[in-house]
Amino acid sequence: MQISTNIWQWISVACVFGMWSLPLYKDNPFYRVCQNVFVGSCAGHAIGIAVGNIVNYGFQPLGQGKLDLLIPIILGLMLYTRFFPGIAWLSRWPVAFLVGVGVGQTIYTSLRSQIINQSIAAMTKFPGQDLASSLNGLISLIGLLAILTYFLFTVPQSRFVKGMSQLGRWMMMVTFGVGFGNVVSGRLSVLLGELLKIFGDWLGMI
Amino acid sequence: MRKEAPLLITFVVALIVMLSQVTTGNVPGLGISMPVLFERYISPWMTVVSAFSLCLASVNLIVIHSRNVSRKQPEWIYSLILLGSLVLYGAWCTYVQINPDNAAAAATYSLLYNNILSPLMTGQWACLAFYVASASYRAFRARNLEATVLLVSAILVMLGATPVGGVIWSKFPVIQRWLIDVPNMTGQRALLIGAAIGSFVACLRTMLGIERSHLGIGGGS
Repeated sequence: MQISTNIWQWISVACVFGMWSLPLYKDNPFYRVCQNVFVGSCAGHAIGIAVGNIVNYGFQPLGQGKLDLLIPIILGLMLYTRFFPGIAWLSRWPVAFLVGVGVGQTIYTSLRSQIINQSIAAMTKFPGQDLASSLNGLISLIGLLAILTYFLFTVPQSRFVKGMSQLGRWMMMVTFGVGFGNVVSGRLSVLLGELLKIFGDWLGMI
Repeated sequence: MRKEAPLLITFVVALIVMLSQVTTGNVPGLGISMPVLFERYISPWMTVVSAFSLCLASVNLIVIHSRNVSRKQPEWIYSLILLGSLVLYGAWCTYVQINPDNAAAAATYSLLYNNILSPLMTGQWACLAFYVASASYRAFRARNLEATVLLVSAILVMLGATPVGGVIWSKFPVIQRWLIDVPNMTGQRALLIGAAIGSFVACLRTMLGIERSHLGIGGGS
């Protein structure tokens, strides 16, 4: 066993232990310090990136003659008018701009890549090249229709609709089960990675 | 003016963004196509305005915690720690972003990022592994057929994902792959389509000004 003499290694392990002290022990000052450093440093990092973007994509090109960038800079500054009650309504304009971009992109992408493309992908797999792929394609198609039937609330619940929606529930349970299994595996692999760092890089036992 | 202008901005910008993805011809009178209009103006504007909005969120955080410190409210020391780390990381990261040629500053910031922020982040992620144990207990009680389906599929996926599963029975990884590729993909696809229909309707309502709650002027449901 050869413990690391690198100070950064010790700080790094202390941060990990600080975070783990909550589930392994209980709420404690060490955890609270780590938690607040985490929030502060994340926010600081975000500020740095944001200010960098404002300078690199706003002020610098503006200085090079791209005068249209005055508009987003003014819109951005208008966001801060919410701190002055008399002109707080001006902050709605940049919000409206941001929402407009998001809405425009979502309308197209939700229609094209999520509704149309996903429906096409479900339908074109059946029939497949062999029996196994045809069966898989059939399961995909019927499963998709069954889950969508489960969310149909505007049609009378006949025997067929009830059966399909029940099948849809089972398909969703499989999906949730797979999702849960993946989450457990993913979290455990992160935990193992951290343990590897502690026992390998820090303590030198591996 | 106070209500109509934001609604008009949302509508016009959403229309430009939407049309920029489906049209190619020039806009009459402007001599420029919608995709170019989006790439040359809307996209860079969006980068700048969203950067300002990110700073606004941090301003709120600074205001709240500065108040805690100045009024010496309970546990104000933690607010001070938060503000200290925010200023340290904020100032350093800003300097690195504005001076990309300064390699020494970038290297020092990487050291801070990789040895404090990154371990805190992965530590927080790994924390969830401890909670997963108790969540598993609650989820893995086979009370009815549906819960049993969930339980069985989760166990099969976990057995297939770990090397020990393959040692127990060589077919576990095959079953795991099939579960992920066929039933799981079907479920994900159906949920995605359902969510897309919902977001499409919500966005259309927002674009047309029926939903106005994001502007704080009411009118939404």
